[in-house]
Amino acid sequence: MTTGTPDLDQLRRLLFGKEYDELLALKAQFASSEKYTASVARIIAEAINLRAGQDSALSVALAPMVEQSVTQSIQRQPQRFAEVLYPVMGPAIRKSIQQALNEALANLNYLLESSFSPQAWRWRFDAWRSGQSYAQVALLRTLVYQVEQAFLIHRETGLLLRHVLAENAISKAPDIVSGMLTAIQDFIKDSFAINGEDTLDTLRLGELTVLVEYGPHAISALVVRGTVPGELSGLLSSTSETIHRQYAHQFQAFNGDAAIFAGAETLLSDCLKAQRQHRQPRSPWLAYALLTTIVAAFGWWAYQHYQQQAGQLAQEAASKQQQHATLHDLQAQLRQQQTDSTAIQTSLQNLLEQQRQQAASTAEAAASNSRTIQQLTRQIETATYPFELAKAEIDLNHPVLQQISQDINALQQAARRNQQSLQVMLTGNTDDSGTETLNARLAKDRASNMRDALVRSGVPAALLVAYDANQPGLPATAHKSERGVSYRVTLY
Amino acid sequence: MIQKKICLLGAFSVGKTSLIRRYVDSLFTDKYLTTVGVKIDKKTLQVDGQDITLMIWDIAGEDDLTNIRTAYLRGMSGYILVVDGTRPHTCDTALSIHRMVRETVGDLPALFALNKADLKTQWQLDANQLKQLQQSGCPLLETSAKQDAGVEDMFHQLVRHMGV
Ligand SMILES: Nc1nc2c(ncn2[C@@H]2O[C@H](COP(=O)(O)OP(=O)(O)O)[C@@H](O)[C@H]2O)c(=O)[nH]1
Ligand SMILES: [Mg+2]
Repeated sequence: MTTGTPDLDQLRRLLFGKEYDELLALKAQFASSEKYTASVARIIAEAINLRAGQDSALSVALAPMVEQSVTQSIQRQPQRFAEVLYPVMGPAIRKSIQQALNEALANLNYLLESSFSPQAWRWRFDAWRSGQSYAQVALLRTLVYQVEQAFLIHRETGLLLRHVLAENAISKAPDIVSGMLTAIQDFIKDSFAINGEDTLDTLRLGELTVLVEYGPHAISALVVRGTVPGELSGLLSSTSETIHRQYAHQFQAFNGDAAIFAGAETLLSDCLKAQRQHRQPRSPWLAYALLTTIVAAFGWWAYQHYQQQAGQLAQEAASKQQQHATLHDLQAQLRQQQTDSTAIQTSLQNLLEQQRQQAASTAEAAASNSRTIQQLTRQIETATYPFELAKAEIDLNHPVLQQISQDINALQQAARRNQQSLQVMLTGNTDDSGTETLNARLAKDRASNMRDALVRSGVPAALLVAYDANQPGLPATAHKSERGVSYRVTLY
Repeated sequence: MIQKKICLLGAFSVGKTSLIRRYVDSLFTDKYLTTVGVKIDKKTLQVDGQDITLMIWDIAGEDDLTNIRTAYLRGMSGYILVVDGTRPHTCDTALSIHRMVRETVGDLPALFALNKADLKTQWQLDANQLKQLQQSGCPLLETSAKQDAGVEDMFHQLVRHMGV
């Protein structure tokens, strides 16, 4: 065989000619991953476009990958995504808040409207009778329609795959209901011998309608209360189609575990639509009225409260002012009193000072007076008029006499200042020459002459007492052996 | 949680509804049976450590078995054929239903319940019937809905037989 190979090769070339080389080149292209990649790269975009136009298989295949890579991307750099989404999110959030507020207002208005109508009382009665809440009854009675429940049922077994329920709706054992739905379907079909492909797509009982959509593997059903709008069955069909497309594998693999259909719940939830009566976008005047009333009531209350407080405040202010005034007065009075007391103190001080000064001056005066008295007393008592020998005549103009007279008058004034009276005792003296009798006469004459002379020179006579030296009771000192008159001053 | 559909089949008045009523806390009244011919109940049980929810279809039977709506049997994972031991013909009915199911639906786990075991003294099944039952290859159980005997065991045995 080894020798035959070149021949065979030659034979091939003879048979296929140039095409054989092309064939080899083509083979090489598939064998080399590099070349193959290059050739696929040329057509990949067109291929994707083409397939995407044919069916949704591509998006189904890509969805998990895209999902995963977006998730990873966000986890890696969330900041960047935040930045990208930022311009979108702001308006979206604002819009949804606005909408939520509008809805809340509309709901409130609706509730108010329905609370005041006679219809509302009927509903209240119905609620009482049926044991439902008023809100439930009111909601149900005003619905144009509401999709209360959505079922996804395994067609062959009648087992419930998914079930979603509107917020205010109640449901009783949906898994049993789903079985019964399939049974009823079969019952009708059997009973009326309907054609194989025809299916029961609507059940109606009173205000309840069950829309049923038969897919190859699953039955989708909507329980609708009220007047069913035309577009609802279209929505149901497209939902059923979507579920069949997305869960094709799960339907194949289903063995009684419905958990694998968990993701279909969002699709079913999208079918839970509702429309209410009177929901035209008219002004919710009742809600506004209520809100206005509330605001007004609050305002009134606040005003009253404010007034009361203001009154109280005014009162407080007034009483405070009064207190202030009183305080002020008191302070003024206090100040006045303080001033007064200061004045009093001052005047007292002055008085005291004066008194002190007076006292001082009085004391001074008294002291100086005393000194004057002492001095004058000494001057008077030491004065000596020079009598001529054995004579008693007195010269009225003699300076000694003048001096004595002055001194006695001054002393009399000083003594008067001291509230005292003055008496000057004049005692005539003689020297030891001469006879006793002569001398006694002489002494007596000299004393009385001096007295006369002093009286004549202005000394009040009452002050002067002239004594004879021999007079009994006279002090011994008075018996001076002098030629003259001695003066003894007495103050009393 | 695994869900399975099972059916109770048998002639009229053999005790299907009574057996189910013994086993489940019924939410709905039995009036559906007479209108639609079927009533569904639900029971969650644990078999060999695994939770399973049985959707139990009580299918109204009449002695004329053509009246059984075979559509109701679609999708079931197993079934119980109920026989009233005091009425021999109910055994024949059960056997023919069994045959019919194998032909229309396929070979599925099944068991025979010989009900009204509390009236065993009045049972009138003959040897031939018992032989046919044994030859069916299905488990055979005695039950009494009245005395609640063998009822739970019956459901558990079917579930085990279904190999869940
Ligand atoms: N003694 C007795 N009577 C039973 C028993 N099971 C059912 N019955 C009675 O048989 C009659 C028919 O029962 P039912 O459950 O309606 O039968 P179904 O037609 O198969 O559903 C009723 O009167 C039941 O009380 C049982 O185990 N023992
Ligand atoms: Mg019955």
